[in-house]
Order: sequence, then C-alpha cells, then structure tokens
Amino acid sequence: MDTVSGAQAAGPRAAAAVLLFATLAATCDAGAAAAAGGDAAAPRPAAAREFARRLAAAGRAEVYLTRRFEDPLAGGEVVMHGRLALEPPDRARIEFDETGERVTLRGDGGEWLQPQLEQMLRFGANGAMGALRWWTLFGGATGPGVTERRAGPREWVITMPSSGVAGDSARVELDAAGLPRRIVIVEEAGTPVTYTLEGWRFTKPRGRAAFVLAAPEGYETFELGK
Amino acid sequence: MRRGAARAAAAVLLLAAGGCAGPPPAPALLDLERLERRHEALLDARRARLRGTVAELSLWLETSARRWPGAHATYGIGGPDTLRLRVASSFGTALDLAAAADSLWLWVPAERAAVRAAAGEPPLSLPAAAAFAVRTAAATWPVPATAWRASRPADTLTVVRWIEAGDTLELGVGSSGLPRRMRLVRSGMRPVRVTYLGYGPHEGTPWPERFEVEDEGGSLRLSVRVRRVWRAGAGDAERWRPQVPNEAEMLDPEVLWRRIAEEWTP
Repeated sequence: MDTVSGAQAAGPRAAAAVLLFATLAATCDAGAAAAAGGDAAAPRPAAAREFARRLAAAGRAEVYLTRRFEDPLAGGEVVMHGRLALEPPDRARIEFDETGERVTLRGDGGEWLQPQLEQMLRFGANGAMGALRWWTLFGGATGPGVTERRAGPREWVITMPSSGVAGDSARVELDAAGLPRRIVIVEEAGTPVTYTLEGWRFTKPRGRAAFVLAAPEGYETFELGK
Repeated sequence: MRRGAARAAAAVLLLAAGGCAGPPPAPALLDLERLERRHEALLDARRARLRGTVAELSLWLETSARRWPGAHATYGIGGPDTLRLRVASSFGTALDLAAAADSLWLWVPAERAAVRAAAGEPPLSLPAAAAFAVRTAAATWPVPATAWRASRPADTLTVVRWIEAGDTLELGVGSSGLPRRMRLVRSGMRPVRVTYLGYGPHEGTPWPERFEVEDEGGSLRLSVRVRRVWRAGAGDAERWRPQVPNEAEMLDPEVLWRRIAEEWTP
C-alpha cells in the first residue's frame, strides 16, 4: 500500500465541494454540526431547510444525478450519470454509472474506488477537507464569511470564503417541493458544472458500513495523506 | 498422442536450431520495399487523422522512487507539434499541460499555479518536446527513405535508424508496418524508449492503444492505455491551451516542479 499526500487529494476535495448537498445531511444533527466546527444555533441556509427537514424525519436521502459540462478539448458536452446517498451525521456516497467509480465521504475520511484503474484511493479527514467546509456551513451555521443570496423565486447563490479549492460557490435551484434540483458549481478556470438532481427518496438509514468501501481483490490501494 | 508429442519436440528442436543459427538474415529488398510501403501508407493514414484527434486514457507513472496512483486523462492533438494533455477525474482537473512548437503551458488548479515557457527557454527544447509528444501518442515517426535502405532485422522487427536535429532515432517496425518500439538518443540525457504494446481502430486506421514511455536508466516509466479515441474537429487555437485564470500564480518552472515534488512527497 502506498501513501501519497496533497495533490492527489485535490480530486476528492473538489468532489467534496461538488457534493455540497451531501453535506445538507448534517443539518439534522446539531452534534454533527458542532463536531464539524459549525454553530448549531446559527440559521441554516434557506436553500437547505426543506431538505434538512425531510432528511431529519427519514434518516437517509437518495437521488439520481446528472453531471454536465462543456469541454472544448473533448469537443462537446460531457455528461455523466450517477447516484448520491446521504445520511447524518456526516456521510455521503456517490456512484457514477459510466466509469463505475464510487466515492464515500465521512467525517473521518473516505474512499474512492476507480475500476478503470483497478485501484482504490483512501483519504483521511484532511483529505475530505472540502466536504468538511460545507459541513460547517450546512451543519447549521452560516459561519464567518459565508453568504447566501437569493437569486430567484427558488434559487440561491451560496458562497464560501475562498479556500484555494475549486467549488467555493454554488448556485442552488429548488423544485416545487423545496428540494434541490439543480446545482451549478464553477470549477477551475471558470468552467460551470451543472448537477441535476432527480427522484429524491427519503428512507431509513443504513449506517456507517454503507459508506465504507473495500477494494476488490487485485486492486491496488493508495493512502492519500491523513 | 505420442506422435503429437514427437512433432512438438521436433518443432522445438527446429526452433532451437534456428535460434543457434546466428542473427536472422536481412530482409530481402522486395520485402523491405513492401514493408516500407505498408508503413508509409499507415503513417499517412495516422497523420491524416492527427488534427482534432482526442483520446480518453488511463495513465500509470512509475519513478525510481515509487509507483504513483493511476490517473484518468484526455489528450487532444492540434497538429504535428501541438498536444494538450489534461489529467482529470470525475471531480475536477489535476493538471493541464499544453505543448506547442512556440510555448508550453502547465496549469495546476489545486495549486492555482501555472507555468508558461516560451520556445528556446531552457531547460526545454519545446519544438522537439511537443513533436515528440505527438509522435509518441500517434506513432507518427517520420522515417526518411534512406533509413530503410540501411535497415537491420532485430527479433521479428525491422529496425530503421536516422538522425534528426542531432538526435538519433531507432524505430522497430513490425511486419504489419506498424511501429512497435522507438528509441531516442540525445546527447546529455538518458535514451528514451517508447514501446507500442497494442493498436486499436481509429476511423478504420490502427492507432496506438497501449504504449509505454521510459528512460533506459529506469528512473521513469509512463504506461498509457487509450480507452476511447475520436476526432472532434480542429477547433480554434484556444482549444489547445488551458484556460488559466487571471489570478493564477505564474511560476518559474523550477519553482512549480519543486512545489509539486514537495506536495507529493509522502
């Protein structure tokens, strides 16, 4: 097993930012918010309220997602499909159909399974830094420097203090039920990436084990720092 | 059963005898001309597809110090000396490299840092580096006609050798006419070897699908597996250059290399 620090973790960090609504799960749990450095008494972002209420009542949220962005190098739009699952206090799991990739994020780190490369990357709590930043926000606190601006009848722009990591702000659009249906994050070099979320389901939680990945036999595992 | 075993043994003995018979004979002139024509036809077909070709690939890098995690990447070829390579995952870009005859750009989003080097600036010989990258990816090694006359056999390959801008290039061509291995010798650096392990179809033409680039000192080996290749049109010049934000820190190449090395050091 190899250990790598820093640069390779940029992917999961960016992923963590992308999974911003994964972090909404924390809105249900004041304890998790405090653990993530948030202030449980502070007002929760308006864009997250209905989602947080439904998740608190059920314990688990699942949604189909589509990721789209224009890629001039590839000569067109890149589209990926997947699923996102969230559970309080700090768990997210994303799966992509086209690549077979699986990513899990927890307060104590996570794993990233990459079948095409026959490898698994494992990162610690620091590797999930980006996610934890959003945990702080959606854990019930707006936090210093965080702003939420209404951009339309069901649309908000949420901005984090700049961290040097992609995904410092997101435009969130809610559906008629008040659940997020579209998130646009401007990634590196100003490329907007749109996530469309469809078919929200709120079910019973499956627990931590559903958010821990194991490498299949023959896969190489790399540790990405602590 | 026994007869079959005897035949197999005879075959092995014949092969062994052949193996002891010294180096294989030089290809007959007619065979050589046929091979040259085959090679040229395939080379022309690949060259005709250069501009605008894009490929999704997996990369594995091994250095003398360690084996790095594999990565997903995309390359795009803008011409014989223009190539952009973006190493990225489903969640963002790790690095974006663009090599052209007159410039080299490297953009590392996680560092919010970029490097731009112009042609002629040390330590890179940009025209050669960009052309080398394209030739490696597309196996478009231009063998001069004179080199075929002086070819020699090596294993099952025909090896042609020529000198280009002070570099010595040796190309091993299979009987199909496709490059199988290439060796570049440049004064002051270790010889570099490219081994083509497999070709796949690209618009009906064989295109490098699996290849390795390594230095003969064993300090670096890059393994490449192309997963998908297509042509997306040439596009404008901007397509072959990373979109580096204005606020990106522009670094001296050596500073960025050092920073990356520190970041990646366990």
